[in-house]
Amino acid sequence: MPLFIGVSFAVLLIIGVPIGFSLGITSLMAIYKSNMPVLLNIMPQRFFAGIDMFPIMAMPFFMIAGDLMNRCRITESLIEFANVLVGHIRGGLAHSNILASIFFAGITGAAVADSAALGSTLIPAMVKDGYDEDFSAAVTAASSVIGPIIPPSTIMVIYGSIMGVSIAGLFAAGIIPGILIGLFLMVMTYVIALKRNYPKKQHMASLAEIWRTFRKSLLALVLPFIILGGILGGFFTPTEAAAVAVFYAFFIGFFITRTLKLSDLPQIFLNCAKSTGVIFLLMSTASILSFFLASERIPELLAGAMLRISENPLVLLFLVNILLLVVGMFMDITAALLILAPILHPIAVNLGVHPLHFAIIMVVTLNLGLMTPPLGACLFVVCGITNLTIEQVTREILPFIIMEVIVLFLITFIPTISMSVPKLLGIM
Amino acid sequence: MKATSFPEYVSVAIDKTMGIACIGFGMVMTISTLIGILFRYVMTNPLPWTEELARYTMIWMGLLAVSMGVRREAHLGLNLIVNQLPNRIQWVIKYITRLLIGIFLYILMIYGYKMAMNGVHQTMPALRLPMICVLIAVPISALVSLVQLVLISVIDLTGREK
Repeated sequence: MPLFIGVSFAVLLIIGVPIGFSLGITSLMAIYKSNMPVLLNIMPQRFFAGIDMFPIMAMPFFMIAGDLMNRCRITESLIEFANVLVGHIRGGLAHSNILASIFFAGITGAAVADSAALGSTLIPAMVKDGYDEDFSAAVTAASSVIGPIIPPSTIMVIYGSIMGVSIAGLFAAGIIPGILIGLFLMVMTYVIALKRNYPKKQHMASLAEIWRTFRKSLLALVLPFIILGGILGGFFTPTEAAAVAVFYAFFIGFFITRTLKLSDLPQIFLNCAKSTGVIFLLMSTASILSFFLASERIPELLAGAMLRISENPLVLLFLVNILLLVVGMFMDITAALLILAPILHPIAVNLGVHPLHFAIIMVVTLNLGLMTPPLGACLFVVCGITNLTIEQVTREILPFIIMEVIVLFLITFIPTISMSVPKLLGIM
Repeated sequence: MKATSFPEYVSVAIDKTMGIACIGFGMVMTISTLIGILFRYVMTNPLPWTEELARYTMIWMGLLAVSMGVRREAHLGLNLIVNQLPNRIQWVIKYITRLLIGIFLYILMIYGYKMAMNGVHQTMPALRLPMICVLIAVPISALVSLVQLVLISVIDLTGREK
């Protein structure tokens, strides 16, 4: 039976059945093979239970809040503020791109949105300033993977909801890894910029200039503190904090920047519903399949197989890194998470890896798939903006991928990197 | 989006209806959660039903939106391998996958309906409505997705107007 389930799923994926439906059809095949049609009654129940969760609501809320904030025209002020802070370093605009991604990460929960918003402004600006276009696109794609690692993060909301891990804890644990990735990318940028003699701003910004741009972007910079402060301080659940973020962004756009129109709202809600629909189908059908996997004790079988390779947690984490990097290259991050987290998470936790630490490893590793060929979503976004081919951007993004893999190994083997903030806040 | 044939007209009309419903559910979800926060923290008099209403409208929104994804083929799969094959074979495989998806949606619809009917006598803890009001979203979602799947298949077969 385990072999039958595995082979059916693989065949369905290979012939191009959408992953969400592949999960459901595999369950159907498993039911027919087991010759117990009564199990069909369980299918819709699991389908419903897979999304009947209050915490997951933070996901659509963060999508709406991010979309609203984008329409508040905060992108330019954030880029300007980042440029004032790091523009005087060699390769200034590239550093600003990375720093702006970190700021942006505190507003949106998805990487693709970061690539699109920052890329459409920054790539043309960088080209005008004398940077190579493929390099500019590569920096944009590479830095936008920070988006889902620094909270808020839709992928962490999904992880927390399905695995019963504290979303507040995940948010706290993601902060330092996200900033670390930013720093490593900046180091690589500096090296490349020196070699190619990329421009920089003549002089450091004056304090007055920093203050002026800071004030302009304050409205956007405050949001992550409201979200994180509210959740980590115990005032709000993540879902409530996300709803407050929606309200905040709406208030800003409608009353302060006045760039938002009431007639924009239907489109924003429609976009959110469409993305939610795709993710809900995955969650629902993954929930059906995981029932059958569990009833066939397949997670235990796989765990046994993995433990036979090694019982050393470090070796196993390394293998998980490799597995997820490969899977992330080919599979959508949400789908990969929904399929693999229920299997890998318990194995790791049994070996003494902290649940939050393991969750961060999974999120960071799968995220790298957003910027790796052949299917990196962020690559497609920057290629769409620039008319470059995937191959051209891939050549330039390779050094950044190497840096992020280094950070990944640091995060994997030094738990303190992710665990110190949750520990400090006493939520673990 | 201009409808040029009858199936396309129907497909667009259903999609628009679903879109409007999703927007409505999304707004109720947001406002309900915000009202919940307002009453709990500001008026310190929590309302029992806001969380439940938000959760069930979220389910309606997400499930109805599944059909919009079916229509746009937005539910992602791995097309890397199939795309290497000759066009004719790709075409055959596409209809096999659609047939499989159709079977899944059909079974989900039938058994989802049975589940919803069993929910007639269950009551939501806070809203005091019968559970069928939200459980029925499962078969309806499957039904609308199935209809959209058939429609886009018919539209593809008859050839979309260029």
